[in-house]
Amino acid sequence: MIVLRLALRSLRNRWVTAILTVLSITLSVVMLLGVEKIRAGTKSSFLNTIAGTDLIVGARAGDVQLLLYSVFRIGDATANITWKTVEDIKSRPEVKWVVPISLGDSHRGFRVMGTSREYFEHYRYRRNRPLEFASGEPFNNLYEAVVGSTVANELGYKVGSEIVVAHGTGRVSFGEDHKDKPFRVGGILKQTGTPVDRTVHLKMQAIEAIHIGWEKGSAPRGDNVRSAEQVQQLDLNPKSATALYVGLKSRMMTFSLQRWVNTYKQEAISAILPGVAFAQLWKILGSVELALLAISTMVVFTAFLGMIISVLGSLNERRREMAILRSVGASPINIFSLLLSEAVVLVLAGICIGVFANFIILYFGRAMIEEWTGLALDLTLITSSEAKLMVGIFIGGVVASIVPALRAYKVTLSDGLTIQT
Amino acid sequence: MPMADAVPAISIADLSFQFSNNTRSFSLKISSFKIEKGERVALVGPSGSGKSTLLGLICGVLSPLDGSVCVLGHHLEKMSGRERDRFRANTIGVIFQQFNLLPYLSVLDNVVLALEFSKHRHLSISNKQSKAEKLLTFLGLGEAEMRHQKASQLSVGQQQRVAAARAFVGEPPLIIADEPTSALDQDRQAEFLETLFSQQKANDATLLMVTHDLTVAKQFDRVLDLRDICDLSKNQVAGS
Repeated sequence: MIVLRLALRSLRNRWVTAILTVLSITLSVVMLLGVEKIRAGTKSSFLNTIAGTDLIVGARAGDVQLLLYSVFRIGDATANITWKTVEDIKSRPEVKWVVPISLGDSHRGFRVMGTSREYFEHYRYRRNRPLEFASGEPFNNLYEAVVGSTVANELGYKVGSEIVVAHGTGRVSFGEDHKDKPFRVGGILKQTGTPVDRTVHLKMQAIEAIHIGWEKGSAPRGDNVRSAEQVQQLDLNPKSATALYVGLKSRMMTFSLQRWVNTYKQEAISAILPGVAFAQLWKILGSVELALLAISTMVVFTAFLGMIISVLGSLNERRREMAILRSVGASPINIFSLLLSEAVVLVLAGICIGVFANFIILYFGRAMIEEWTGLALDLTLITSSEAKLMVGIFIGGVVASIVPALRAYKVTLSDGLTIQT
Repeated sequence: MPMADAVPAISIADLSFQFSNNTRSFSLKISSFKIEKGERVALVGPSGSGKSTLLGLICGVLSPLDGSVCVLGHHLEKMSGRERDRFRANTIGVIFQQFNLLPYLSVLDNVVLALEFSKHRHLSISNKQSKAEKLLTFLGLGEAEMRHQKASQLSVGQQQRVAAARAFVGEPPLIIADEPTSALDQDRQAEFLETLFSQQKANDATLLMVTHDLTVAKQFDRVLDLRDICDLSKNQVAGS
């Protein structure tokens, strides 16, 4: 008790150094917690990019590859699925709903995706949140597009803006585009923090329509040219899809349908469980965040090093003080505890203020962070994984505090009542 | 059972002590000497002869290599470090030459500090404080505002008197002082000695004080020259 009281008084006496030391520990803790919050937030938002979909079906490929193009619109499918196959899957008894998607075109660097109206109903993210419209509504007619929030923000689109789809997915157009069939923005989605934000959605039929006459792979010429109006008279039912989002009547049926798909004879297709594929992909990406965490842990230990240096530095001028304490009966262990508790008080103060400061920053900055990055961070004082981290930091701090305390112990043993030089 | 008064305050026999670090080594040998209870003894000797070392041995912060150090009938060399610390807290009051006080504590808390590690530590805070206040008043540091000043704001003379108050609080039977007057001018010196003696008398304590000043030494019951009691061998490797 007396030792702790002395420690607090002594710290108050050297308050400038004490506050600076606490500040450096606080800053490092805020940084560590910030990294941990962002890591947890990124992970949960990543793993929840798509929810409510039980299986994703595409041309036979690796799980991660299928996930990359069907959900993240990264890379391309090796092949499409014919509509006959789509119908076969639709008619399976396990299936509740099927949403087809069709990829291949782009608009000023953003992927264009053909889909059906049901997409806006069944697509879920972040534990079952549906897509919401900031303005407008799902496609009412063939030449209407629904754009994600990033697309709308970056290109300044409002409902009614006119857009032209480029053929292919290159950022630089090859000069081949579908300008003869312009689209009107019919709806703008709210921000989701998922690849949906960066997607231009068209009807499956619209994808068919703009490619009428492109069967040879280049822009139609002469007799093959059809106007936007003429095309509407033709059969625009989709002939193929790039991938399918499949919802099942019961989760229990997932594996039986997956087996059926993977052994489907007519076409080489495969089905993946989004959750499993996400976990595989996260293993690859997770190491980056581990590195971030490692760096911020090092920052914390740098702060501890600063603390050790400051306490050690004060030790020489405090030998007088230690001799006085010995003279009134303090044992070397008391001296050790005094120095230890001073350092532990600094560490504890640094951690507590750090946790609190992090909460304050999160409280006021959360909305801004979500607006800028689409990353939704949970507003919690401390999560269990963060608490574990803090316990680890505290133990590290105590171990660091032992260094100057041990030094003081040795010094006071040899000094006794008179300072030996 | 020997009579209580027959037990000397300090008795040392066949003591040998050795100290060495990277800059110097030092050793001290004392065959025997005694200080009776209630005696005022001035310890003199050239600087570096081991006066402070001897005080350290008597206080139990240093351990002899061999021989016995007996304080008030207790053999320090047979005690553990922890026991010696406890013993010192209860039985010995120490005054240094200078810088006796913790700069971050108030005058009052500096005096109370001596009770915090002793058998008086279980007293209530107000009890400890009233003990300390009584002593401060007796030593002429009565003003209430001074008690709550930081120790570092006092003059050297005042600081030494606070140190004396701390040494005497809790009424330890043995007072050890290491040149407590050397930082004071002539008038303050006399004043301080008077305080020291009167308090020693009031407590019926034994006083062992190191001094360089022969006029100071003369006022003691006995002057003990370290050169007379020890076989000194000093070995300077480098520096002082």
